[in-house]
Amino acid sequence: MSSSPSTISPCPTCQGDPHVALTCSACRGAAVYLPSPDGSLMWPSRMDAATFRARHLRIRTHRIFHAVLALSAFACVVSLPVSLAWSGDWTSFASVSFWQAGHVQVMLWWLGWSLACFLIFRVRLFSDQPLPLPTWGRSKQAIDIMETRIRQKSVAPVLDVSLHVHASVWELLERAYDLAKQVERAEVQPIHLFAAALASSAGGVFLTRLGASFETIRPGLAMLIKRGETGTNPVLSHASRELLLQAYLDAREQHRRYVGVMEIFSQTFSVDEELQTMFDAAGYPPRQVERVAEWIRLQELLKEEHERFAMLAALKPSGIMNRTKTSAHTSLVNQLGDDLTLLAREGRLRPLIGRTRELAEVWRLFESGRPAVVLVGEAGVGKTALLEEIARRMVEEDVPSVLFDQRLVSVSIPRILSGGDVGEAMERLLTILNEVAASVI
Amino acid sequence: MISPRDSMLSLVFEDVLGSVFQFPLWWYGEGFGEVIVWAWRALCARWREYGIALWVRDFFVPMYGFHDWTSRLISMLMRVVILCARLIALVVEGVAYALFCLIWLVAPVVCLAMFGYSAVLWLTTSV
Repeated sequence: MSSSPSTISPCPTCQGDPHVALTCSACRGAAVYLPSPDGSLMWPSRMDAATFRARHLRIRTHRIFHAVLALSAFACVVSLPVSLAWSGDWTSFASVSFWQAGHVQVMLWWLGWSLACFLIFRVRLFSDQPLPLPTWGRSKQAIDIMETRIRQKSVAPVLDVSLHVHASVWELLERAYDLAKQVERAEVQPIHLFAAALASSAGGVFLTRLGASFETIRPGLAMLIKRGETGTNPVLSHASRELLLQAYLDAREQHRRYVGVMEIFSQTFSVDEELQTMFDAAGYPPRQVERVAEWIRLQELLKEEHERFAMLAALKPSGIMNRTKTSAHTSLVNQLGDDLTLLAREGRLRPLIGRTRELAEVWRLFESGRPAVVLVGEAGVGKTALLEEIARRMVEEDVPSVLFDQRLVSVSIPRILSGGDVGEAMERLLTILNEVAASVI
Repeated sequence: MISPRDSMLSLVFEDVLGSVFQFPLWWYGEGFGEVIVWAWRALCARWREYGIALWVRDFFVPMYGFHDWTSRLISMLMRVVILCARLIALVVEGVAYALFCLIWLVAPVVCLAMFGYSAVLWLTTSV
């Protein structure tokens, strides 16, 4: 699990006290700031029952308002064609006099389209969808430019992290608040966030993958959530705020679209030693817990990556011929080989996790003009996985120019040898080599 | 700090009523910017799908691995035809996106103006 070296800085007026921050006009409740390449991170949202109720009300109001707008726009727009169909006089629709005759349906038609424009604006700006992280979907070059622009500003811009968290994180916060209130704590501590994360769907996947039942860890967790001062109306603690801000940095580092539950889960676990000890005592060493959490995050990341890959794969030719039709006809290669680029395009190859050094070395060798690269290693070290990743990168066209618009075919020796004597096999092998040589531009 | 009362006031006056005034600012500012970026990305994706840069790069490379002079000539002619067809398709698509951007710009103004005009006509005729 990653941790950022950035240090948190409290608000100079309220000194980061979460109770004083409630009425602090300088930070408006943020209490603490965390410097980041995207600006100063803060979490301004208040944590109490009224705020959660107001949030629910806001979301529900927007949904109802948008539904009413959509229905009104639809009814207004269709009223004109319906009335024309009713009267059967379609020819008048094309005449100028019809539009100037003062029909109520004409007025509704234009009102409907005006409402449709307003609805587009409302849905774009007032739906409960979180904003993607500023770095999501951007190339490294674009991120560098963005960071340089922010660095050049005399005053770092302030970034509200609460706008970039997934809806499931809001549910988590609400559960954490309820839990802290239930056990009569003065502050919502990271352990409450952790317990709430365990109760989420991602937490359920985590427990299943870990092979643990909630009952196993319940007694230890029940003791931990009772740490800290007692109180009636809990506020978000300094540590919890810092954790939420660190979770943002973590999500940014992992190229995530939003800050999710698992970022908070991982951050809490990595900073709370008592929690680690509790898991260790229950038979789940911290390293194992961290690996399982990483696995879940990886699955989520792969889902997000798949969307991007599918979009790029749609741009690749679906046949064996390259875009510019320069490759020769390779009947034997097609017959005896597996086209990895086609398989990758169809989404049948798995992405490679790690091995960035080896992949960079392959790219470097191709870019230096080497005609071939040989991968050597014990069985199971990931040679085939590396090949499959190369095929995937060729589909994405994120490869050196020599591999651009080419295909990667896997030919197995057993398949060449099968169904004939050694002489025929050698002939087939030579034919394959000739076909490959003829295909090279 | 956003108190519950503030958030209720913000819901009514900012989110619901205030959005009416915010609408034109967003539509011709950020919204138009989003449409331009969307159209540009769609055109770039089409450029990449057609592989026009690749067709220009391989203009003199014969098709299907036939390296005799007749095949080279036929390949070049085919490439000219395909390049022209793809460029025309790209231009047509570009014009369609430009039209969409134009419609985005005029749509609210035209719709609201026509709504006002037809409302006046309707009131006049009904009175």
